Amino acid sequence: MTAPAAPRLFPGLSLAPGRPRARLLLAFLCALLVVVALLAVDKGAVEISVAQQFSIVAGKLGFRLPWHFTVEQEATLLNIRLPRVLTGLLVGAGLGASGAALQGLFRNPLADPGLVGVSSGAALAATATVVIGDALSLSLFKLPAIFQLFAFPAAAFAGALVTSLLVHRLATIAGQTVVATLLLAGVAVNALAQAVSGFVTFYATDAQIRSLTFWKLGSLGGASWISLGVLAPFILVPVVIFPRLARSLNAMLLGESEAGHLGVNVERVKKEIVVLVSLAVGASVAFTGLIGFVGLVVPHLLRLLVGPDHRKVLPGASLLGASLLVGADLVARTVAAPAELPIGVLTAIIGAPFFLWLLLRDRKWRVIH
Amino acid sequence: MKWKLASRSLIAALCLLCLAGCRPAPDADKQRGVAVTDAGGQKVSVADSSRVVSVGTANTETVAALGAASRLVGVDNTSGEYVSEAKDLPKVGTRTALNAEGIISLRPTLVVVTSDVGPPQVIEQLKAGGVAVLTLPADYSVEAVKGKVRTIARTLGLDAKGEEVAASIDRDVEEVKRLLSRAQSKPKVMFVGRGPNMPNATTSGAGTTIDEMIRLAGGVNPFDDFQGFREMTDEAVVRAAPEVILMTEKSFERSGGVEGVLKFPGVALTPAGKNRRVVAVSDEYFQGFGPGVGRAVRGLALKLHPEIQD
Repeated sequence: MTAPAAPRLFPGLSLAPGRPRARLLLAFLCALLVVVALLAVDKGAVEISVAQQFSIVAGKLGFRLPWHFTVEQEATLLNIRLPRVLTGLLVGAGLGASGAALQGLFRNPLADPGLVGVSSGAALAATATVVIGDALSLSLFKLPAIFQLFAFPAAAFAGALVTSLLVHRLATIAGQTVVATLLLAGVAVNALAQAVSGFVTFYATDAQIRSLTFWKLGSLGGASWISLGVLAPFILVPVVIFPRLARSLNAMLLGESEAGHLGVNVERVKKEIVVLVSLAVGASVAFTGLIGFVGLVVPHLLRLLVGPDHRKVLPGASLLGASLLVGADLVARTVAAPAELPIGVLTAIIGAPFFLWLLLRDRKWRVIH
Repeated sequence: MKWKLASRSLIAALCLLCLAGCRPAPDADKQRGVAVTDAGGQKVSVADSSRVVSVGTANTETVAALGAASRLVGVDNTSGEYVSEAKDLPKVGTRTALNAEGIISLRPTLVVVTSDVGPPQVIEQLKAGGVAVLTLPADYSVEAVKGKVRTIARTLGLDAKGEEVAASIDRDVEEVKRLLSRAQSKPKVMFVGRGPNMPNATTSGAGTTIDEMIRLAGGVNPFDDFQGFREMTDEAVVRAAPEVILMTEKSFERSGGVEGVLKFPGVALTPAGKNRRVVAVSDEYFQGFGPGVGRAVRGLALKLHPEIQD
């Protein structure tokens, strides 16, 4: 890209003066994320008071605070709740920003990783890894855990990459996105993923069916510090780099050839977006399964609030996506405690009516630009 | 520029949290209690079995049969549905979608699970929470059931009662063998299952509780060329030519009685369909093999072979 790369972490966050509204909004999103995350750490099936939480964390860092806590409380907070909240935060940020970036790339607000098939492609590849691994009788469930940890996100990344390239290839004709083709390509990939998962279920062993179900429904329940450590770079790299592509994406809103005339290296930006989205979506799917609607609803909300400027939409979508997913997971694991609701059910319950409301509220605002 | 500061301090705070969590304290084995071997061949030591969460119907049935139902503090949804002693206990969800924190909130000292629970990480999370986890194989044979009964009994400190229950399973099975010695046929029995959310009926191949039950009750499962459950196709059903259709009571009702069953693919053309021979047994019979397996087999044997009635 030829747009000068800003040296700051979130270039979009240092906005031009005279736009106090956008600044205020991003400040609000930051605050919202902090509040939701703290609430999510605080609440859960196991009661842990705030004083005890401080005590536990301080105890880990070598300080002794006077509030007593039990072994179960310590283990729950440190080994279950914290990694889960942080995983939700990362996955939400990754999905929100990926949705915004994909929508920018296709210049179409329907380009959600779920709708256009990128998520299914990732899940398909992860499933294939299990099956092929078993067929070669080198069951991934028997291999060292660390290899397994990397094998699934790597496969899911490859799946997401192939799908996004394919969808992009199919949907872009002479530099213009053909919306019908974009959505139809998504439908086709999703159908293929359904078919393969159905086919695999037909012949699968119990262990394979379990991972299939997990990927189909989505859950943050398996989060651990190790999975978080593997997940973090896959998500943080795209989330940090996306805002640097904001100016190019803004230029591309005018059309690809126009962006080219403005000095944007369109092909390179496209490739970067596709790779980054595949990284974030692939890793998210590998560790938490298919969680829909975050990538669709979050960028829309942002655009509604701050306008189409990607310098604000991209960092904003990370923040709001993180809040939304952490909040949804908080509900998922507390309303039915000691059991838990599938998180995909919750994101859809929040997401689908919201999306419909958006469409009805302002019908001048077109889905298909 | 405030943003830079804010975002950096946020990241710093996250890193601190990660550091804090990275080294979970290994929960020291306080006192060594009962040592048993689990499904993976690993030794599990259980210091205290006063508060038990049981996942898997056969496990819950076993705890109840050992007279230890009062120690249960939570069960999975299916156990709650089929084991009367567990009806009013807190439910921890379905076997494949458990929530570690939810289970820990019930303050169990022991969690008994089958090896096929999910998400798979849940077992490690529970162990990290200082809870002893006993994993039992999802294995369906009378010998495996007795093994499970003995393992759970030893874990709960009820060895004598465990031998008693194992002996009663033997007695039930011997009784069935005695009854079956009078049987004059070995009917081909096709299982037809239809879950509440399933559009199509499935049948059971080899390697399931149902396949084993049919065999023990003196029948033959005509579908032995595949493992697990499959949707039925009419030609395969006609070719298998079952003499009896076996269903659970619930799915028999759901299907609309004999008339409904005859509408399933191919069934009307089989000997079973022509003679309208549909056997419906209690749903509990097939909920994993538990200590009631002998009685269940006896019940099924009597329905498959009316001639052996005492």
